Amino acid sequence: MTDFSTVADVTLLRRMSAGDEEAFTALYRRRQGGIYRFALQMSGSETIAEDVTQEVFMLLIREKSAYDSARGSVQSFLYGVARNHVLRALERNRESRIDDAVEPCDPGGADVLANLTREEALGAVRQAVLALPTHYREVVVLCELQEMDYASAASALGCSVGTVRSRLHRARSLLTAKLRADPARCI
Amino acid sequence: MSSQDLDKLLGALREDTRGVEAPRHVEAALLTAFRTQARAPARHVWIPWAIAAAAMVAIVGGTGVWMLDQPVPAPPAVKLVVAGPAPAFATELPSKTLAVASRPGKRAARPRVAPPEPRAVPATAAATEVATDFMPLEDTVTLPPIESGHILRVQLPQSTMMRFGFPVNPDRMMEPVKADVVFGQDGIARAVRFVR
Repeated sequence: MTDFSTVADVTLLRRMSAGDEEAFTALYRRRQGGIYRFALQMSGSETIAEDVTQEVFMLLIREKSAYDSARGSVQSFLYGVARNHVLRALERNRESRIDDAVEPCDPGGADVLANLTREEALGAVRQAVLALPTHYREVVVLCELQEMDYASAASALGCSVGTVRSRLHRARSLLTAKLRADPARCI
Repeated sequence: MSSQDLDKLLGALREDTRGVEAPRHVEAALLTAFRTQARAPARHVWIPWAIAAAAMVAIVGGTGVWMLDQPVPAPPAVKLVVAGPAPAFATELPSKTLAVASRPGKRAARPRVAPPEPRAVPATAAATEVATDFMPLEDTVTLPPIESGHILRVQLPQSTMMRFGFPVNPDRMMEPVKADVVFGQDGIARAVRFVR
């Protein structure tokens, strides 16, 4: 199998458009984790995350010219597509309860109390992020949890860097206020 | 709570999900779709066929078979069945289905398209769906029989249906159609059925 580790996304995309299955596999394996986690952190649902991941890459398969390099990187494009699918899924599920919310795993281990405390704190942060309004949640997920730079996040969200910056500032204030209400949260 | 405390909490959440990835069967389903798409003829190849079909329609004065919105003759080689909830997995795939669903000359009503449903509820959605029988994929007939596996709902381009003898509107070949793909114990896609 060819080593694609140093091949740029856009080259992989071009090769997969020409029918190169290895290029598609390499691009999928490189990007699926981030897309899946983004959808999972945005929705709190493994089912939605799975569907979104599948839809994002199905678009690449179906619409070979969907990506326009003039509008940003392949990564930003994929996150932008994922975002649209997540928002659609959240809209569909607005009135129906999501039953497959991510459950904290059994901590086990030697220091059970410490693990329980940690799981509780993580659960609180997770819930606080999920409770944010969508446009604040997406900047937190992209910039804080996915460690994406502001320019890439702006490209994925279709807004300016300044908007990302101000939304992130506001989102952090909301998160701080929400978590402050429960001072027991600590890692 | 300070900004540093928040950074610490977000960092812990980031680390907690760092290794999380999509399940392996998503990759398998996408590879199946990719292979199917790669084998499908390019769209422009079908333009002459579309023109010929339109001409034939004009000559015989029949209905526009190229319009998928209109009733179309039932596919000759595949029987339409109402999809049951979460089909029990068969240890052996059905051989090619030869039964004809309707009498010659009688038009089958176009299966109704089920409204979009979250993937989490395929069993309830299945009650309103109409599906073909499972059709073995031609390049898997030499593989060992299936002993276990699972069925995954995916979306494929409508052009895929042509491989199995279904009429497809040339203008809609790239539009998605729901399909259930059977994966064997080895993770290889063995059969597919189309769902509306």
